[in-house]
Amino acid sequence: MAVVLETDAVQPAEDDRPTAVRDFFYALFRSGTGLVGLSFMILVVLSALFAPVLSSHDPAKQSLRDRLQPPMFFGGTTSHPFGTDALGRDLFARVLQGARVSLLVGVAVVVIAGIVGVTLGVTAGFFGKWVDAVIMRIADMQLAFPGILLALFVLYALGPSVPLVITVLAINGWMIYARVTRSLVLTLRSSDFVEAAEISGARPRRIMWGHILPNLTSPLLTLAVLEFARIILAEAALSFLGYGVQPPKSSWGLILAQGQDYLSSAWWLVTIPGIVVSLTVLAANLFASWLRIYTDPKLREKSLARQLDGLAGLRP
Amino acid sequence: MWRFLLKRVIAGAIVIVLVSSAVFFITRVVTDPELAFLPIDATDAQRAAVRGYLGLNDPLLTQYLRFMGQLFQGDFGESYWQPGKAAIDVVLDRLPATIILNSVAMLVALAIAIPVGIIAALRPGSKLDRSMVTVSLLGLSAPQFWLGFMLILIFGVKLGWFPTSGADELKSVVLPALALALPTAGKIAQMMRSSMLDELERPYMLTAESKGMPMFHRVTRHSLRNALVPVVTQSSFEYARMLAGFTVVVETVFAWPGVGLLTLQAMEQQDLVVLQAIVIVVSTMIIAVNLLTDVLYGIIDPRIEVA
Repeated sequence: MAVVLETDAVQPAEDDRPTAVRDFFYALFRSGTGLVGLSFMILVVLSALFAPVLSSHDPAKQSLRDRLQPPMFFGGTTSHPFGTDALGRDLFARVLQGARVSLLVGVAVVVIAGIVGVTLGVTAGFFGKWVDAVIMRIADMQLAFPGILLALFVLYALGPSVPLVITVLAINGWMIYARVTRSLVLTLRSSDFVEAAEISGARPRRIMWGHILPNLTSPLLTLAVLEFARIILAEAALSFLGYGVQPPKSSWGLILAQGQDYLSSAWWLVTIPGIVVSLTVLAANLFASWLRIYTDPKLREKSLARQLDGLAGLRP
Repeated sequence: MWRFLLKRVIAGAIVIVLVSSAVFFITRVVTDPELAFLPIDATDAQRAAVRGYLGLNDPLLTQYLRFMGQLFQGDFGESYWQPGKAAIDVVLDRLPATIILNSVAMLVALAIAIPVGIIAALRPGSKLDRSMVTVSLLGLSAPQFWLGFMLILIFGVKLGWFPTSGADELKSVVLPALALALPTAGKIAQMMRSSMLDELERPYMLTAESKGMPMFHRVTRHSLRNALVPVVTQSSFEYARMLAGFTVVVETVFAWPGVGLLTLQAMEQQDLVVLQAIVIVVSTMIIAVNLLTDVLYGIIDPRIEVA
């Protein structure tokens, strides 16, 4: 354990891969919250992928005879585990269908904004000078933009659609990746092992790909998971307002919007999809906060020390 | 200090110019302005009026310069939805309600988050700490509008304690403010906790402890002041985020007559003139919040030389 604690936050990339993977899963299984978060995220993704297998109901099929049935355990039947809406559509099937669009938007935005942001961040950090100044000034300026409001404005003016929602949220989100990447690159560039590589004659490209980029992976992965959570909420908000995903497509935000008229008569139409959204976002946040501590040896050391302190009752 | 502030004001002005340019670009270049500014069933006379008013027959650069010039003079154009009323007045009429709602929400969030963050940090790793961390994570994971619905369901429909829409009485602010405050409180509590943990480990805290200073004084007089610096940054960021979007969602849920609800109404009325005024006014508000934070910094932490 002591060996782990003494390693520096910045490590050369060449480590023993199989051991690293084993360590990761060992720590994950011991962590509780991290494991719960990751498992739930996997569960949601699998449910979305296998939606037709999990629910025999067609999410779009109306059946007025079965309208507004409560969920099971609340007077409903197992045939409609989440109940039905005012048109008799099965809520469970609709939530699964909505998950597909919501998760797609989340993943697409993270990938696009991530690629753009990381590329610009690496460029800024590596080349410095005016390139850095220009990129970071744009990022700073855009951070002061009214993000969601501007997104709403664009979606209103151009007409909402899933690709446009993805584009708008990606334009809204690349800055954070750029800033984090740039500061990491700057720290790494002045670290001992990069200097050692430079002294031994490695070319810039090799330093970039072989020494700097591998060390960006874990902090950026954490950031991506956190951003995923934020995007899920942003998409839900836009769709709820009516300027995100449009019917006949469906998303979690849209299901919530359609359920709001039945708030007092059919509570489940809003409550259940909302719980699904919140739990998904919570799972991503839990996993990210575990990942952040696990992948940063300094934080890991701190958190361990604190746990020991707490156990021994040393701290007031 | 003054030079620093001047720099920030100029940077802010540039942001406002950029936002306005974005608005111009989106409404005049990316879309057909006639379609964007008028309902589909508009008459030919209305179309001609819009063309004339916007000067759509002029070259784009002339249009742009005129647009920016009018904004500079505070002329945002006339609302289509409420004819005869300047768009800027329509927005400014609604602004106080939004500021009240968001400020109350921010105060509620701070009132919850600061004590929670401190208490959690005092016993890191304990059951109390873990449950507080989990609850705050849960808070920041829930969509504001859904929290709003749940509050309506529990405190409005079931218990009947608070009104669920409008802003007719003082009690009306409670539920929308809570819906806005809870996710923010979750974020600030996390920040407060980690920032407090860092401060508690500083050597000066050990000195204070060895002097025999009681824990309450150590925390409130020594560490809290330092630990608040990152929390102030986070809070102002969160306040800006509320103004820039969350308030639209929450005001819609609770029919709170602020700028957020106005945004949705202007969209339904296809009043792009009011919409562009909203975007620019809100951007200005955000810049003002950021500026205020910079000033606040100098007060809380004299070490930070704002130069």
